[in-house]
Amino acid sequence: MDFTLTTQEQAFRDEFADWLGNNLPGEPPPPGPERTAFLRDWQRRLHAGRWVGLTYPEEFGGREAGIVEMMLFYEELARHRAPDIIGLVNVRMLGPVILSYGTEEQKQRFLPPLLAADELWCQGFSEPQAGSDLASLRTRAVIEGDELVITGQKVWTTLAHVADWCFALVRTGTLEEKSRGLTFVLIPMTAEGITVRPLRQITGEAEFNEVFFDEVRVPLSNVVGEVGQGWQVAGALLGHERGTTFFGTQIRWRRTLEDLGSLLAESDEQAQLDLARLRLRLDGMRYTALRALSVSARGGRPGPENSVLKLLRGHFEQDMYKTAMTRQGWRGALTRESDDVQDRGRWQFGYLHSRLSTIAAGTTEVQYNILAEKVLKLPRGN
Amino acid sequence: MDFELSTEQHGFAASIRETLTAAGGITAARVSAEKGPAEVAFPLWRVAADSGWLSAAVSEADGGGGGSCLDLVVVAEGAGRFVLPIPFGWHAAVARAFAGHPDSPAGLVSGDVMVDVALPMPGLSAPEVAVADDVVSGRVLAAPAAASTDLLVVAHGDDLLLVSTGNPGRVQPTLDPTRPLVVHELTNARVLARAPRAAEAAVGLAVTCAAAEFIGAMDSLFAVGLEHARVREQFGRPIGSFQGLQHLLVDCLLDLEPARNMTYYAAYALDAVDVTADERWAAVSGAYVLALEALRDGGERIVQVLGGIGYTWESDAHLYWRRALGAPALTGPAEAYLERYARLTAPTEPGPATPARST
Repeated sequence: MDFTLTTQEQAFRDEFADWLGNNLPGEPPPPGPERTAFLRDWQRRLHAGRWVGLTYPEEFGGREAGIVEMMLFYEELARHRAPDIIGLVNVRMLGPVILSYGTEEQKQRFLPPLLAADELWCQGFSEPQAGSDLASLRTRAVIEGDELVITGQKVWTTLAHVADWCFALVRTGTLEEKSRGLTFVLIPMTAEGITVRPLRQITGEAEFNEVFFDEVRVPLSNVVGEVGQGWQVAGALLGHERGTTFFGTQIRWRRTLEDLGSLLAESDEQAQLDLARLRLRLDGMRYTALRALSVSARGGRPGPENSVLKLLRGHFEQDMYKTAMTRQGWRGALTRESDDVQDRGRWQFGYLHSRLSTIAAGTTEVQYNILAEKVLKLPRGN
Repeated sequence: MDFELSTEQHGFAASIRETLTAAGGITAARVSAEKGPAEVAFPLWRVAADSGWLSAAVSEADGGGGGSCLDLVVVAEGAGRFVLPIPFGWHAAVARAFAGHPDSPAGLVSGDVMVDVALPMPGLSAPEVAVADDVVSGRVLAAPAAASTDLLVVAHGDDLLLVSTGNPGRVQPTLDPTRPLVVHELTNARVLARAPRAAEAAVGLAVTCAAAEFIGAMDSLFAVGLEHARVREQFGRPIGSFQGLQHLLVDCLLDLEPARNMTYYAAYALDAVDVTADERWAAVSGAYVLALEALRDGGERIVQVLGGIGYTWESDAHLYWRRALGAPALTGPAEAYLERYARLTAPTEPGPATPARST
């Protein structure tokens, strides 16, 4: 056990910290087109400094960074209060898919603009009838000549209203084939037959959308991997990124806890203990993440740490905001427009927004089932 | 950057498991529950001493194994797996405190000489002792050795005193049959040796060992619950296929993993030179809270999973669980450690407000 960094890792961190010191973008504007433009510029600037797609091959501007460097990257980003990139799904989901399964032509065409945020992508996976049970999705794609004709509906599509492209899982086979009948396809959002409708959320804001496809025609050359191979293709991950974003998240949460402390009277011992317990849970998560990272860094396969972390993070975020809500007393019931609201309503927003942390990317209950079966080796439920 | 046990430490853990399985495994805890730990503790103490476990974290120059605190904690975790009925962490801490000390009896480091130990753990009433002219008087609650002896290590301020008590202490059972307390009533008991400014480090080591023992015990208890859930059938299928039970068991894992990793960090922090005293104490205190609660709450869940069988004295489940139930009297209640953690980790000043949407 050893917490020292190699000379190379240290140099990496220093270089990034220096760069951030000279390139910080300031505070992002509130949600809206200005914010999108601001964040796009920020990603462009990061990319120009070769700070996007760090785990990618050098050919595409990457540094083939290791997992420890990724941890340092997210830590520094958070420490400098810099926003994360806007093209999260670009870089963390689609890029790895194209690197693993894309043709040379697809790599050259799509990777540079997705890294630079010259093209923004949205992810078309979830559907009204296919949430946790994603493999039962129904958006149909029929092969006609050298085209796919796509009809159906996607939902919870982040950034669809500003995205240039959508990568989607569509059903080329039968519903009975479940995950074997799916195809991974790249769809330009400008194609005829696409309608985007913003989805107003429980927070009152609209960061998600519904996307409707009505006989949208896409060339077969936009399929990544083979027709019918979509499930496998969508599972492609670029080894070293996984789980490292948490090292940035935990710094932001630690800061949120400090801010939360300012809502509490120092004399209120129970409140101080509640807050300490939240800090302690964050510590426990951090050391668990470090353990997983160390196993990966040694070239091993982490145990249950990452699945455990996903659940712990969801519970933690909700409990943190719930504490903030109860500690605000009556003011916790005010909206951000109210004169007497505290901290511009951030706690109310966080409380509502954190519902997402046990729903998005697989509900907590499904994660529990998966852990029970895969990690604890319990017999499969019905 | 490597936060993982070394190959040697993994090997160490495996050999401890082998040794203790050969020594009877959980049977010793069972016998303790029926007849008291003194019935089985002496041969196990011998095993621990001969294997060098008690002196693992003492330098080689002083007759120890030359290992780190983390090495010792790996042993403690292994001991916890079988709820070993000897006060492992206490003796290991005392061995380290008195190592190389000219007045300390030969054999204390190795464990050939056994002592009862009273350390100033958070949340426990401080020993009411008066020290004058190298004699000690007062009432002391201590963790007994294999059985209580007439040698006692007791804290006085930040010093540790080794005193000759004349008699063994009076046993006070706790909810953990493998870990009783004893009371020593001292009247002018002679101080044989003094380890100056050693109490705090001894507490840190003993507490971290206790946390590791909770982790080890929970690992075993968890295995008992999982095995039962896989094989016990009701309504024509294994009960482990019911979601209600599955989720109960996953909750055990969600508590156990952070507790384990925080405990390893605390052990690392005990030796690390680049960690401040406050950080070290925060890590030790935090690990203790997480580990104790992982076993306490995990035990509640596993008893539930075992159903009627879990409610019997005959089931082994409560033998493991009781390590957490007895701990407040031995190493202190979790609440006291949480308070300590809270004080040590409180931000010195409120952080600057972050933008409303950075969540």
